[in-house]
Amino acid sequence: MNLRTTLALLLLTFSCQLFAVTNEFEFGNRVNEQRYLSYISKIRCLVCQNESLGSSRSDLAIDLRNEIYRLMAQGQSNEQIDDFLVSRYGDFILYQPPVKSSTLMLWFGPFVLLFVLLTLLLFRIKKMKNQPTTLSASEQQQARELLNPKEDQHD
Amino acid sequence: MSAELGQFAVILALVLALVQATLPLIGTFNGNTRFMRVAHSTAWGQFIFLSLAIACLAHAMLSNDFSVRYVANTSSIALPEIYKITAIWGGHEGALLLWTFIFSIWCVAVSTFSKSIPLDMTARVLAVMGMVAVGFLLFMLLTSSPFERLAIVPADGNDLNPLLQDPGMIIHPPMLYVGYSGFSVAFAFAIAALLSGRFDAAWARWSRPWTTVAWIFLTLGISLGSWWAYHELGWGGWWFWDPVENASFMPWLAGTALIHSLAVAEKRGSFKSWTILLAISAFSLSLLGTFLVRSGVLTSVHAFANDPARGLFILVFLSLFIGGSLALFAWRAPGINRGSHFELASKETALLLNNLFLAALTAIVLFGTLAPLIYDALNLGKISVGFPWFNLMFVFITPLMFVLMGLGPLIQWKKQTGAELFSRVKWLALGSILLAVACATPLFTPAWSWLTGLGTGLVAWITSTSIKALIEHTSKRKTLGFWQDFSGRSRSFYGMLVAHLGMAMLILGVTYVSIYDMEKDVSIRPGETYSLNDYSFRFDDIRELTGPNYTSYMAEFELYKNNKLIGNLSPEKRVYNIQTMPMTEASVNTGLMRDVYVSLGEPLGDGAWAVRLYYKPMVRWIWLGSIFMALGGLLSVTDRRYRQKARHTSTSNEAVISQAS
Amino acid sequence: MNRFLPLVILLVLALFLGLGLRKDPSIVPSPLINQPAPSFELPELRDVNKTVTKETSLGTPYLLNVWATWCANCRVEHPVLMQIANDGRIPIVGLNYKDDRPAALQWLTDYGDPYRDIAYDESGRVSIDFGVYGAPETFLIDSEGNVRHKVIGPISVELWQETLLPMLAEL
Repeated sequence: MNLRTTLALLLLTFSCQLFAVTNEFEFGNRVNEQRYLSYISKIRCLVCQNESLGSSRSDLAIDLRNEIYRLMAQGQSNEQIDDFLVSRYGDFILYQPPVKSSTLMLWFGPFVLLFVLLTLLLFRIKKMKNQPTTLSASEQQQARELLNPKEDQHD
Repeated sequence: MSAELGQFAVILALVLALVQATLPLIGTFNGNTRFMRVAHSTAWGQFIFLSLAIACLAHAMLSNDFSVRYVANTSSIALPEIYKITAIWGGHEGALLLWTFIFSIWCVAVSTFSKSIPLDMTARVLAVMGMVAVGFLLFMLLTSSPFERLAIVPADGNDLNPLLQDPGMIIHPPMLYVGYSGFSVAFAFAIAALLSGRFDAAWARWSRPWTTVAWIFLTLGISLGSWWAYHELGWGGWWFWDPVENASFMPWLAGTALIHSLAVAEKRGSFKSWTILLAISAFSLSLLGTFLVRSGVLTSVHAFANDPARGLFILVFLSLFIGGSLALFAWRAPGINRGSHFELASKETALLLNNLFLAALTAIVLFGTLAPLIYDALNLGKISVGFPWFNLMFVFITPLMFVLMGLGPLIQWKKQTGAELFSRVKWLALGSILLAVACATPLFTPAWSWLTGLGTGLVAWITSTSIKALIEHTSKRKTLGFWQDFSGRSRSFYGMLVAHLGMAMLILGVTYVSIYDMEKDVSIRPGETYSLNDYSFRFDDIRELTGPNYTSYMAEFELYKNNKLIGNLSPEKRVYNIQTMPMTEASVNTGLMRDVYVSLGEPLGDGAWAVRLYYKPMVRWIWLGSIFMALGGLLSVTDRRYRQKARHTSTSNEAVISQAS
Repeated sequence: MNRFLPLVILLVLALFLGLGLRKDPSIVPSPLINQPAPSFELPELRDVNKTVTKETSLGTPYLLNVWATWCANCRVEHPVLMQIANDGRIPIVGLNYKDDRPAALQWLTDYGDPYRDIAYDESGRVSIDFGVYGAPETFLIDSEGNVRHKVIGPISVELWQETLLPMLAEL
């Protein structure tokens, strides 16, 4: 039996779809419902790995939701709860990767990329302005006649 | 018997694809028109044989032939007939067959509608498409044939995955495949241009309608997928940035960029090498999506049986094919002329910036999707890159693009003075900014946030500038009258405005549903009432139902708004007999301004049930916007300049052929 | 733009995708590796009056095996555990996870009992501290109580011989 089928079986035994009792919490001043719901939506359920803890019906998800509620009721911050989860399950459990040295590329790479592309583009257009015009008028005209005698400038 | 016939038909299709990939190309080198014409017959032949293969699989499905492994895995006796048909693409092997079938339709379409295009060009295009077909047919025959027989025939099949037993799934995958494989036409035109070394404006004009049609289908396919997830997965989400969703979104982004850059390539002859690169990218990203979904390299929602051998095949195919194309590009790129001159302030620059943003967004989605894999491969730790990251990136990067989107239709080609443009849009800009500020401050209700301001401001900006563009356009053409203008060459202009307005609608929907949606988990007994926002949900009754291949609990809710009955909701909890998988069938009271959504959870004992209630403001606008975008695409593709070409070019056509050969 | 750039990007991408094919994305590596195992105090499954703690097992390396009767793969793994127990090179401590006590005791009677101690984690709270997300999972813990390795899924004979035994030899 190879590893993948084994894991498929493993997931079956620990099913995402087990009937289980949904958590019932009292929300009020101590634990804000919006904060709780938004928090659990950003945590990955490790049993059903494509679902958030908020939408998963797995047993483990229910236990972890209880745990998160308890920690919130104790007055812990989201960062403290992140630490609680990460120290047990690793960064994989957070849908929002933490900002640290190894994820700098992830968090700032896109903006650097955009900046570099923009600079390159403006530089190129500037350069083009100084070049003699390479208008391919004949080619343009040929195609125009070939396809469409009465070309129109609107797009 | 039908399985063997199907397998044989696929083999014949492969043989024809091999012919199509080689002979016409040889013909273009030695000027043999007979060889070039072969492409038309092989395209039709493939289509006929693959239709036969699909018919064989359909027959096996409908006759419950469980000796066929694929049928045994994806169907069952009790499965309703409509789902037996959709089960044809409900698993990996059949989905692949559908892909090749749809692809053959594209080949036939190219062969049929390319009468006005020089024969050598058509031959090259169809040969490139033949190569794609060879890859996919080989993949199917070597690793994933849907016609494989089982040694021991089970009494009943394994049933179709219950998640896929849904109306949304009937047409969602075919739509997506039409889109994905449709980008192969633009790709083939690009490769044909590279092969021939001719990069004239005609090339861009030929590619344009094909690209737009593929894009329309992809747009609809993606939004159908989103709509399916919304009502079938039962947690009210419409987009999760799952790798499978991203796999379809990346070709869409690249395809959107391609549509815009083709416009410039056709009108102004600029950006040709960039356009060719985009055409290659859009199709490559479709292939990459196929790889991501079927190889199991990423954690994703899809239930395709993942198999590293299949992954390896696609990877090798992808590397050779795309690698070859890009090598060809690198070789030919110096020969592509730069096109006409334009100023920094011009429509060209605006479209170039649009392309830059779309390309950057594509790269970002690609990077975010693959980042877990890259981090794992480099031993940098195992991470998840989920919706919070993607949302953040898009919220920061797209607004600039949307500002440009408003300006785009108002800017002139070649040269535009900033002062003139500014005088035309200053009041619209001011109005949009004021509206944004008003929405961002807690002026009306405490719940307004800066994101509401941003979204609303952008929507106002895009809408008002589009209207301005419309007014300027019609006032220039007063003499024509609207209908004459519309049925003439301006239709693509109207198409663009409609598509842009669709985007504005989508932004509106996304903004409001993301910020103001509400959800509540409750435990509720029959007779009890719960309230969410202005709505009250009265739980009337729950009863057992027996479906064709499932049993279900159906709850009856009455929905009140301010104590007035406005509708009934009947969410279900189904357990499918064979896969014993509990499924949530949410019930939605839809409306233009809001959806109210109930999803039934588990029994909690004592007659109480866990129920999730949702209030989703303006969520419909997301799909409505997508429909408008597709409609815009449809309008521009039916522009007269594409319709009329078939009629009048047959004479010049001959001239070009004699030139070429 | 350099005309070779797209080709280079593709090749880098293909390299990563190829590397990705050799890994399983659903395996979640434990952050506890080379960290002290969490401390716990749980009732012994077979003897209600006894408790099992982290300190109970300090001094010698041991395997901590997370199992449950509702887990099909635990049944697959069980003969290998019996073999390891009979081999006698390393004791196995069980962590019975969210299980039913009578059913668990019956299991041991039916299939044999490879465990030196069995901690009964009825609520699953201790297993959360261990980062358990499925069963079976097995931790190799050294004599100072540090986690050295984690196996996700059933232990096979090959895995025992090729991975766990060499690691054990180094402890």
